[in-house]
This record gives sequence, structure tokens and C-alpha cells, in this order.
Amino acid sequence: MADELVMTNGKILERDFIPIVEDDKYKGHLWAYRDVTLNKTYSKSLEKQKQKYYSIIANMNLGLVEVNNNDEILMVNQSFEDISGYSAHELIGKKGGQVFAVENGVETIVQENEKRKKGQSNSYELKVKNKAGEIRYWLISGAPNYNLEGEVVGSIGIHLDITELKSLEFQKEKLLEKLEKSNDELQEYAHIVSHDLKSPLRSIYALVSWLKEDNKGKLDDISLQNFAHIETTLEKMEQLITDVLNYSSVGADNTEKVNVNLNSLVNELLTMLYVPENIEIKISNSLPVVKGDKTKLQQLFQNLISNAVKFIDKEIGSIIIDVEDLKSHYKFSIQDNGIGIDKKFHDKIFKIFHALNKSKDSTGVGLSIVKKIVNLHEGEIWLNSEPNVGTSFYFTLKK
Amino acid sequence: MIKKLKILLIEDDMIEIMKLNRTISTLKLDHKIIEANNGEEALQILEQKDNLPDIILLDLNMPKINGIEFLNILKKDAVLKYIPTIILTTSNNQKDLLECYKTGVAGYIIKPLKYEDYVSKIEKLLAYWSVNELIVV
Repeated sequence: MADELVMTNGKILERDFIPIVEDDKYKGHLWAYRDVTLNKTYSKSLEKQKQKYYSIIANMNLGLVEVNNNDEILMVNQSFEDISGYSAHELIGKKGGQVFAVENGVETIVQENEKRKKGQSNSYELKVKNKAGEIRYWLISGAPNYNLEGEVVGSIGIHLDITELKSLEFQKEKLLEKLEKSNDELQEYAHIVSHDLKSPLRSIYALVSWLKEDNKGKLDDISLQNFAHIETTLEKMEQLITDVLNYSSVGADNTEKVNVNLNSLVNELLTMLYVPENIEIKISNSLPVVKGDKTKLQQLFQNLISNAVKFIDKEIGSIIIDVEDLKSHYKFSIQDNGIGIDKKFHDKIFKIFHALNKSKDSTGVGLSIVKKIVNLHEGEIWLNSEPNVGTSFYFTLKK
Repeated sequence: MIKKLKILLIEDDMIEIMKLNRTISTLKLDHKIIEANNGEEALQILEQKDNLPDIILLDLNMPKINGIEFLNILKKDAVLKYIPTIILTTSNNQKDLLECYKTGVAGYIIKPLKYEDYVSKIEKLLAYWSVNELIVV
């Protein structure tokens, strides 16, 4: 019987009246006014909020499913109908796990639902089958749903179709596997080729030796010289094959990185390397410990130091090894006073088969191996050089 | 006392066989060499149990049965597994080296390029095995 009056100031009043009757005689009305503005706006905003969340749920690109404690579907949104291929009335009342799950999916769903019953929110990936029978991958985030008494009555799950993402992931895994296999094969291949190429060289060397032995005293100087030429050519060929094999091996096997004490490594190396007496090698600073592959790091220093030794033409030779501590890397330098390298060759020398001096003991592979090793340790290599004065090689290794 | 060794050389390369023969004659050693061109031939030779070699020199790269396969057959045999087998190969592949020592070899020698180096390696190898006590089966 009450009616509402909207005041010009925005207030809402609820008006009520009671007729007053005295001695069977109508005396008039008793009007009662109540300010209900607050109540009114409250229920209006509640309605608004509800509308807002309803439209979020209806329009969001995520599938939403509400289930009870038996995993029976109570409600789905439009997006879930889209991603599953089923319409709402096909789903309501069914058990989600039984409709969609494949492989051990049922088990996963049961486990995850148990967690939700204990009040935990969770997120997991599930392999499912949609209505068309296609395998899809869903990322499901679920949270328990409570009634007014605070009891868990079911759960609400948000479903995101991540099939595209998943297939990319699988593709990547497959590619990696393939890459690893072809790397292994290449490595095997390099070994076999190197074996097959070296065997005939060895045979020729033996045959030449026998020719020399069996004709001792009968050969003239020129013939002997020519035999010597054959031998040095064979040696160079053999070295080339070894170098190419080494080059292809660097980076092929992924030995685990360990702490390598470069100080002891380089000092040990210096006792093994052939260094002529006129060359002095100095290590100015104590070299650090770095994480890396010991054999490769040794090869790195060996190639650079023996290069320096090889190209020193001065009467008193000097090689200085130094290190500088940068933030994330160590910067090493190997400085010599050798013949130097013309600026125009600075980029070229790191490329395979670009030996500048075609001599007996350079095959043009050494510096390309050096670069590969430095890169493998997340470093860079460059040089400063002046012809006839000397060369400084700089390289960084990650700490 | 220096023993006279009976050596089974399993090698498919003709010149490699010539190399060993020549080395032994140049060094004036009194060892006997039995040649087998491949693993199958070697297994046939090894069937004569009363005439087994003292040591085996084995090449890894061979057609049909390769060196490692041959080694595996050898090590499964109750008698033959006691014959010291030394690998003589070009391959310095770490994988091969590991596999050979795992299966059980008495040595792993890389064939050098230079013939002089080869002679020196073989000389040392044979000197070592001629002073060793060997199981007689």
C-alpha cells in the first residue's frame, strides 16, 4: 500500500497511510513518510554489479564452468560452449571429467577437484577431446565455490584453450631432438671422413719411407729433396684434416661447464709448448678461474700463444698475457711484437681457411676455432695490430 | 726372458699389414704374425683352440664386422676373452676410446702419420708384451 515519492532533491520517500476511524466515523488519514534513499541506491547498485559481472562472464574469452561437488555441471558460459563445441543444455547435469577427459585426464580432474574441496585454488593443464573429437589442451584455473554457510558446494573453473601454444611447444621439442641427432651424425661423419682421408696419407708416407730405405745411397740429392717435399706435404695434409675435425668438434659436444683455473692451465701449457729461447712470455696478472670447458679453453690459449710465437720476427720476442676484470666478463689480452696484421685482414682472419701466411704449419683453421670457443663461452674476440710492430688479441669470457 | 709372440693382426688395409711385417723384420724380432683381413676371418682362425695367438692387434674400421663388434664377440667367449687385445687405429674419437676400454682392451694405439713413429710405437708395444706373463689356455 506504500508508494514512493521522488523528491526534487533526489531523496526517495516511502509514503504509508493508515485511515483513522473513530466511533465508526472516518476521521482522515495518518500519513507516514520514511526516507528510503539509502536502501534504494543500495539495491540498485547491487543490481548493477550483478549485471556487470554477468556481462563479463558472458563476454570474456575464457570458458567458465560451475560444477557441484560431484563434478556435475551447473552452468557454462558462451565461451565454454565455443571452445568445447557443446551447447549448455548438452552439458548441464553431466560430469565434466567424463565428457572431455582423455588418457589419465579423469584422474587429474578427480585429484584437482579434491584439492578444491579442501578450499585450495589451483591451475593445471589438461588434454581433452572436444565435441568434434579433436584433441585440445586447456589450461584450467579453478577455485572452490562456497554457499552462505561457508561450505564448499562445488567449484568454478576458468578454461583457456592453449592448444596452439602447446603444439608450438611440441614442435620445438621435436626440432631440438632432430637438431641434436643431426649434430651427432655430423660429428660421426666428420670422424669417419677424417679416418678415411688419413689412412691413405699414412700409406703413402710408409711407401715413401721404404723407397728411401730400399734405395739408400742410390738416390741423388734432388730425389731425396723431392721425397722430403712429399713428406712435408703429407704432414700438412694430415694437420689440415685434424684441424677441420677439431673445428667441427668445437660446439658439437656439450660437455658440462666446470670451474677452470686459467692460471694453472696457461702455466702448464707454457711448459708443453715449443717456445724459442729468444721469446719471453710474461703473465702480468694472476689469471682468474672461469666456468667453461677445460679442453677447449686450453685450445683457445694454445692457438693464440702459438700463433704469437709463430709470427715473431724480432730478435728479442715478447708475449704478454694479461687480464682485466669487467663486470660480467673477464677481458684477456695476448700481446706480441711480431709481424703484425694489416687492418684490412682483421675480420677475415677469423673465417675458416683464411690463413694469411700459407706456411707449413698454418692451415687457416686455428683462429676460426679460437673464435668459436670464445663465442661458446659467451665472449667476443677482436684485435689491435700494426704491421711490423705487433698484434694484441683481446677476448672476453663470461664469468 | 723375452718371449717369441704369436700375434694375430686383424687389418683390412694391405699396406698396414706390410708395415707391421716390415717393422718386425727391420727390428729383427722373432715374432710370428698371423694375418686376418676382417673380423670373420679372424674368428675362423680363433676356432683352432690349440693354436691361439698370444696377443691380438685389432683395427677398428673394417667392413662387415667392425672392430668394436669383433671385440664384443671376443669378450663373450669363455676362452678368447683372456687374449690381450690392443686396438691399432686412426680414430681418436673419444667415443670409440671409451667404448673399447669399457668392453676391455689391453691398449689403444693411434696409427701415426710418420712411418718412423709407427716403428717406434710397435717396438715399444711388442717389447712390453714379450716381457709379460700371459695366460696359456
